[in-house]
Amino acid sequence: MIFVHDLHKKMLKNNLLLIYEGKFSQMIIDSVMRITDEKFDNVGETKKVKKLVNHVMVECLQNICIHGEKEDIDNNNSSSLLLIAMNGKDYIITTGNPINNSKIVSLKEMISKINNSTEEELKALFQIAITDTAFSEKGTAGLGLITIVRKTKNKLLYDFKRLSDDYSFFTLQTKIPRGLVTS
Amino acid sequence: MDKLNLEGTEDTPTIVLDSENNHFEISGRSLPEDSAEFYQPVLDWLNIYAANPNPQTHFTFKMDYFNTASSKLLLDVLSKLEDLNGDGHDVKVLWFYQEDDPDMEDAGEEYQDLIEVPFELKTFSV
Repeated sequence: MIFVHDLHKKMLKNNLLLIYEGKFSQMIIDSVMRITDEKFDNVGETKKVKKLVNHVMVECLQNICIHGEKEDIDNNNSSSLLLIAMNGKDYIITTGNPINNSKIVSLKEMISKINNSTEEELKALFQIAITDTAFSEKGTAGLGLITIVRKTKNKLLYDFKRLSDDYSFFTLQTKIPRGLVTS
Repeated sequence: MDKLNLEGTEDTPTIVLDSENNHFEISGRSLPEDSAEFYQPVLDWLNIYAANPNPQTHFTFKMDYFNTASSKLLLDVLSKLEDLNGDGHDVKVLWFYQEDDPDMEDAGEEYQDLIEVPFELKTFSV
């Protein structure tokens, strides 16, 4: 029981609205959206903010569904994570999932390119990505990440924590300023 | 030709492709788990329709929200309309967005930049 109280205190201290740990599926994403919608309604959040937060969350979670590791890693260590926090002026969405180490270099390059692009360059990147026919059945992660940065006007924060020779835990964080859409 | 009529769900839009009644519309939310699979019947229907289209094809989009995977497939749908227009047929895209929804307005403007087809942006209220 002490653990429960500690966890509750930590959630309150860190302004965490929601924590989910486990595997993600479309059904889980739908459920999480319903929960966040209700939480937003309870605090009287605007429709625009709700929509933007849900948009970012869906992109992050669908990326995990499509690109995340499906195999169980080290006794079910393949589960993923979603945290949603609100610190007054920003919503902060953090996701985490294991990825194969072979994907790290290309993912870092992609995020770095997106983070270092101007608004106009992001628009051009978006147009290339959306019209690229090779950009495919599976490969829409770039388009999702470009869209997140364009809509939130914030850089993506990320981290890779090594789990084993084969896998690392990839954490991605996005900040959504409420002021962007409340005016 | 047979109509394609898909009722909208929490994750998928309402789709009406009805050449007999000259009604072509995609509306609602689009975030299916597999966008390519979901939109394939729409693209197939448009391929068949293109062989013998109506004198006028006014295609309505009235989206509330779509994810980026769907945005790519919506562009594929628009590209089919662009081809039809390029073949000399009377085609127009009517892109509706809610008055207080700049996201859907921006999305319409982006598509307007990307395809060569008469394109009208219009607002609607709920």
